Amino acid sequence: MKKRISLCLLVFAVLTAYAQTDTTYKPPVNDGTFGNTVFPANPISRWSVGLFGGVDKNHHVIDVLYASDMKYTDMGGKTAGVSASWHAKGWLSLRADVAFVQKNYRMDRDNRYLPFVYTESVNNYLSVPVTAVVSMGRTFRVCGFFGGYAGYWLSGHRSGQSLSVTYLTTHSEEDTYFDADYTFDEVRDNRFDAGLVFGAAMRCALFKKLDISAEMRWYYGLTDIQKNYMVNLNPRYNTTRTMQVGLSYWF
Amino acid sequence: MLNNVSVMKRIAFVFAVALAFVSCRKEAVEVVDPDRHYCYTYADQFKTVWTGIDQGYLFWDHDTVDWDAVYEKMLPVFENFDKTGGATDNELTDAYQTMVRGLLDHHMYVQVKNLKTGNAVYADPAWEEVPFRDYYHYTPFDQQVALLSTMEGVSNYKSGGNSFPCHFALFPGNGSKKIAYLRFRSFQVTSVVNYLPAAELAPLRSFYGTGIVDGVTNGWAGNDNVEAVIIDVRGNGGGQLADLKPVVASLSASDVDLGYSRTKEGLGRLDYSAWTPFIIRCPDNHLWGDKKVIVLTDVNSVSCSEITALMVQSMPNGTVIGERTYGATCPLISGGHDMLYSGVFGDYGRYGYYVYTSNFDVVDKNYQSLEGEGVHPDIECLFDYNALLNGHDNQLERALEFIRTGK
Repeated sequence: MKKRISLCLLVFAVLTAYAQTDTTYKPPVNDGTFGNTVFPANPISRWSVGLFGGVDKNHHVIDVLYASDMKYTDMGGKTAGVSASWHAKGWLSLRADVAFVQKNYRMDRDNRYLPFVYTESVNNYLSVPVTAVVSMGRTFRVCGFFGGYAGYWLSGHRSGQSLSVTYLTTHSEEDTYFDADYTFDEVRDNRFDAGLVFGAAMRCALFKKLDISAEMRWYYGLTDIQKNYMVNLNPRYNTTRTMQVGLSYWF
Repeated sequence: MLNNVSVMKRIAFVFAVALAFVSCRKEAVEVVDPDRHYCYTYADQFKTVWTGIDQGYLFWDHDTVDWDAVYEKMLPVFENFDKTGGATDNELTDAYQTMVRGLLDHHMYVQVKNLKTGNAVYADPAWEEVPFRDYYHYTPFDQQVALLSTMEGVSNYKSGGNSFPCHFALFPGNGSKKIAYLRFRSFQVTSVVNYLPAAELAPLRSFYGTGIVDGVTNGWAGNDNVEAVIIDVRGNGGGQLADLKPVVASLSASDVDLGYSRTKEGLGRLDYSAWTPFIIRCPDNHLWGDKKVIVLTDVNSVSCSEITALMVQSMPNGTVIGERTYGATCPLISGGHDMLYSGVFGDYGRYGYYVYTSNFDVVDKNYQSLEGEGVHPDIECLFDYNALLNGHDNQLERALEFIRTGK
C-alpha cells in the first residue's frame, strides 16, 4: 500500500513541479461549443461547483494476531457527493468536497468447525476532503490531487452468520443468521474519521461552463476506528479507493 | 520561474510531509496466544491469564471491574514473587483471587500452578459473592433424595445411580392424575442415552417405565395420566446443552424462545458478534401440550439448570419455584477458545494455567443479562433445614401444593 501511496505522491509532485515550470502556458481559445470547448481562458480566482458519484472498495486494515482463521476481505460500496473548487492559478486549485463514502468489509472464518460464520459490515461515512489539485491540459486536463479529510461514521449495518447457542443444540444453521443495523458502542467505536486523500483525475470540458471528470481517489485513514479503550488495543484502519465520475459548473 | 533546486526542495517537502502522515498509523500490538503459552515466571503467568481474560471475557460491556487497573495493581505483586523466590500457595491464591474479584462470570475459575511448590491454586470470583447471599446453603442432595420414597402417596420411585443420574417418582395429583418428578444431579442424560446401545437402553427404559428414557428418546407421548411434571435442579451443577431439547423443550407446546446469544468476533474486549436468537427447538414427537411444568431451583442450581429454569419460565405452562439461582447463566463449550476467541483457555498440565469461563453471552428477550444474578423464581420458597431434619422437603412440598391447588 505504501508503494502505491508513494507512486501517487510522486505523480502529484511531478505534476506540481511541471505545472510550476510550465512557462508555455497560454490562455486557451474557447468558443463555448461542444467538442471545441476548453477550460476557461482565465481560470484564476474563479469558482466551480460539482456533483460526483461512483463506486468504492474498502480495505479493512487489521492484524488478526493469533486469530489467524479470521479472514478480512475487501468489500465494495458506493460514494457520492458535492464539491467546490477555487482555482487559484491556471495549474492549481483548492477543492473541498462533502462526500458520502461507504467503507465496507467482510470477515470470514476459515475454520472447519465454523465454515458458515461470516460478517459483512456496511459502514456509512460522511467525509469532507480538502485537496490541492494540480492540473494541466486544455480540452482534457490531467489532474493530481492530494490533501486531507475529516469525517464522521454515520451508521452501519451488519449481516451474516454467527455461531449461536442454538446451533450447539440443533446443529442447524437456521438460527445463525443476523441482519440488523449496527448499534454503536460509545466506549469502543471511534466515529471521528480523518486521514489523507489523494488521487488522479481526467477532466474534459463539455461546454463553456461545464466539465465532466473521471477520478480515482484513495482515502487513507489515519484514525483508528476504535477509541483507545484498552491497553493492548489492536488498531484497525480503513483504506478506501473510489472510482467516480462528476460534473462541474464554472462560475 | 522556479529554479530546479527550488522545485526539488518542494518535491522533497511534499514527500516528507505525506510520508510522515502515512506512517502515523499505529503498529499492531504484540500479544501471546493465551491459550498456549509456556510460562516460567509468576509475572508471565499473570500476564498470560490477564491477557486471556482481557481478550476473551464476554462481559466487558457491562462488567464494572477496571481490568486495566487490575493489571497496574497486580503486576508488581507477581513480579515481587519472582524477586523474592516465590510465593506460598496461600499468597498466590490471594493474589489471583484479588485479580478476579468482582468479575461477573459465575462460571469462571482460574487454576494456576505455583512455580515454587508445584501445587495448583484456584481463584473463583463467584465464590466471593454466592456464599454471602442471605439464603445461601449447601444442597443436601442425598438427604433430599432419601426422603422421596417416604413421601405420602409416592409411587414408581426409581434411582439411576451414577450411571444414569436421574431420580424418578410419581406423586398423587388431582383426582386420578399423577405428578411426574424428575431430579438430575447433572445434565448428562442425552450423552448417556445416546452412548448406550439399544440392548442396554432397553433395561433402562424398562426400569424407568414412562420416565426419562422415553422422554428423551420418544418424547412424552402416552402420558395422559400425568398432569404435571416437576424438574428438580436443586444442587444441579449443570451439564450438556444437548439435554435441553429432549428433557425440557419436550415439555413445551412449541419452540422455546429464550432471547439472544452472542460470542466474540475478535480479540478486542468489545469485539462481539451480533446477537442471534437463542431458541431451543421443541422435539417433533412432543405431546405435552399445556400441562403444567415446574422447575424446582435453589442457590446451587448452576448453568444448564438455570437455562432450564429460564426455559420453563418462558413457557406459558411453566413455573419456577424455589430460590434465586447461582448466576452462571451463560454457557460454555470446552476447547472453544480456538473457535470463538472466548471462553476456556490454557492447559494446566502443559502450560501450568487454566481458566474456565463462558463462551456465550446470553440475554433475555429484553436484552437483560442474568449472569451474576441468576434466575428469580416465580414462587420463592427458601430451603428449610429444620424441616428436612423433621422429614420434610419443604420446597418439593410447595411445588406439589402449587400443582394441586393452583396457588
